[in-house]
Amino acid sequence: MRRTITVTLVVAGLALMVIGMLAAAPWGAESVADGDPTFTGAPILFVLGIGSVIGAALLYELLPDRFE
Amino acid sequence: MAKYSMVVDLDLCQGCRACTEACKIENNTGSGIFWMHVFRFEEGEYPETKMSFLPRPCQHCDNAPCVKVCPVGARFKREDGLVLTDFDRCIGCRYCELACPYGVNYFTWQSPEKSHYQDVVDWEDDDLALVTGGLVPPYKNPDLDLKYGEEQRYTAGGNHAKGVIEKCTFCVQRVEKGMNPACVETCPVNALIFGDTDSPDSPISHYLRVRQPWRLLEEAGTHPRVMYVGGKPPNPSLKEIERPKAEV
Amino acid sequence: MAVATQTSGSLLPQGVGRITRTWRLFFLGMILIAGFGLYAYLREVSSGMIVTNMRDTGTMGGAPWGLYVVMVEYFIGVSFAGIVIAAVSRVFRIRELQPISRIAELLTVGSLMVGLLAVLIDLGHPIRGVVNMLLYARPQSPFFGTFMLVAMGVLPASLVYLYLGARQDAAVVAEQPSRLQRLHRLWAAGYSDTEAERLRHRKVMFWLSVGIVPLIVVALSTEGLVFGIQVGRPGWFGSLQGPDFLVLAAASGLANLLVLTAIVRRLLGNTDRIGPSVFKWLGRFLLVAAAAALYFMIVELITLMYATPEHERLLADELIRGSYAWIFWVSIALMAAGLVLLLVQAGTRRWQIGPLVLASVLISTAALAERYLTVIPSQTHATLLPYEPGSYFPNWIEFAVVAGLFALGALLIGLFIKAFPILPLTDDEEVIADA
Ligand code: SF4
Ligand code: SF4
Repeated sequence: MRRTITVTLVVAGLALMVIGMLAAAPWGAESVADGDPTFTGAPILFVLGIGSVIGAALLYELLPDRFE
Repeated sequence: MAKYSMVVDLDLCQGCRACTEACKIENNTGSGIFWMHVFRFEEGEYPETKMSFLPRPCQHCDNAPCVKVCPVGARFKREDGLVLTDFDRCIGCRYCELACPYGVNYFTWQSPEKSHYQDVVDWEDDDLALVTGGLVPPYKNPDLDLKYGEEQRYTAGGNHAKGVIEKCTFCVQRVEKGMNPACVETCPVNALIFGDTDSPDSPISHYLRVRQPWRLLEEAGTHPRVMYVGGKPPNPSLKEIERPKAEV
Repeated sequence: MAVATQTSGSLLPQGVGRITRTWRLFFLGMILIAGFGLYAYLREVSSGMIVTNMRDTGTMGGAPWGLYVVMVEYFIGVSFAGIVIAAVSRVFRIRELQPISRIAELLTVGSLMVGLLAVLIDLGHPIRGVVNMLLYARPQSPFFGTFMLVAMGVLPASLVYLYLGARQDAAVVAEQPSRLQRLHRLWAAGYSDTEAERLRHRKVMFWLSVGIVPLIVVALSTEGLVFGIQVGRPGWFGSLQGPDFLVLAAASGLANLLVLTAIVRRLLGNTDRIGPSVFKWLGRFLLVAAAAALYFMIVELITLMYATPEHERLLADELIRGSYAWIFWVSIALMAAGLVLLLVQAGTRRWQIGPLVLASVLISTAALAERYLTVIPSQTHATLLPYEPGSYFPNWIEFAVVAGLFALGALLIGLFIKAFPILPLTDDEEVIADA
């Protein structure tokens, strides 16, 4: 259980970071005028991703024993 | 889609700085701020000296380093070639200012009211009131408070708020109405030509067919949209004289 | 403030919770200096940055990035060494460095906090800065590194590292009745030192140690990139800015760590826990880092001098003979003096705390001056168009704000020392034994 939670959080976090990064950089934008993130707030995904990975470490250590 | 460019004919420029003045009035820029600056250079030793002039607006680079470094996309490039600053988005980091090789950016170091030559003129003065009819600056060109372009962003004019960056906009508020930038309109010898380089019939296209243009600091790879004809590129042996003395 | 005053008969170790008169004076002094810095900053907020000496480049002939950016680079640089030392000593089981791992982590966290605060202070619109970075941050800008990787990545990771690393100790002190007991209990978060828990703790600490070093190297390299990618600024453009930043960061970070370690040792009555071997290790690391930093400084100088581009030569002239010459030569002299001091000790194999601290102070000051020379002269003297050369020197507002930042950092570190044992109580040495 503990392991599952941690691994899920790390994987989800890394995925969020990649998605956030891709969405924040306007790759594939049609015109030069289109310099903004694909959608407003995309960098928040990136931050959430980092948070999720760090949170995984915290949870792995802090979850009480019944989560074994 | 139109692609706007400017040609500066250095063979015609007489260094009168009327463009500088026109820009300040049109865009309400503050004290010490010169979106259009005209270098006055001196070369050689007296008495063998030669003077030359070089107007320097923002070059509206096609490969603009200022756009690349902006952390929040406040500085952006429009489809029609204009490089603009969204003063509603700018966080005031001044990174664009340092990325720009041409030194055309100005930060608003203080609030608009204060930077409008407050220390130079006493606007409350009774004699002055006779002339101004009691109108107290900051005078604002109302067009500057509107949103422009497809993107509908606040990009026109200067002196809106303290703590943001501003620079030459090619007078986006005029261009969108089909007019020329204020400097171009004012130049008494037509040394500045503005227009759409994509349309073969525009005066600027005609100009470029007969004259071979060069660009400022071509080696920086910025691909400026401002082109120069005549004269020669500046070099470090030129001394700048009569630099504007105004302070912020 | 979460600091308890005198709890008579408190059994907390390492003077935790005991605020003596000297400590009170120290806190008061730091609060006063920080308060003065705040006052200066508030003036800046109300009248605009016009109250500083920063001005635009070009026709105004000033530096738009002034002392604040220098301090951002310096503080973030200082943060580099701490966590890396802590992590490396954990992973490679360098026993001698274990006692100072928490000091090192604390230094990282403290300097990151003030460094990032300096970033906000430097913005024309600090609040908008935070909001817009979340809404519109562009990974293409090197500032993404500062805002996203350092502020949102390295800082939280370091905090978690500090927190988890000290959890076992928190459980120990949480058993002592004191005013700080609630804090300690909260920190321990139910840790009861069972076999399973210990194993988990070691695993987490190992993986955190492994993960945090690459993160911090990548994130901090972007600080160098901020300058390195500027084609338009002679003196900045170049691929060496990233490594250069890290080398100087290592030197200044180790120097600060050494000074802080010496102070802590003093505070704890010259405890044997921080023995000569600690200083020997730190001294050797510092020697390597300072030598590398000096090497970089000299290579850079020579490159500037031989560089064909006219502007680069003019800039070099300005550094060697011009208005920045005194800072330039002082920084080289200090760095060299610090290095000589270290070399002498290395040669005689006698590492003594006094000379080590002196060398550290010299090297740290040299690093600060070097940061100044990276940031400022390229703005005032290296414009590609023939603008007249400009000038910049910070004014009292900027000095006051920076003094405030230092005081704030010292306050944070002081509060921590009084609220929590600064040296590990339990031995953490077998961190990787089972991982
Ligand atoms: S001249 Fe400077 S501010 Fe203007 S577009 Fe080019 S880089 Fe940007
Ligand atoms: S000062 Fe404003 S426009 Fe310039 S880089 Fe910073 S946020 Fe972008």
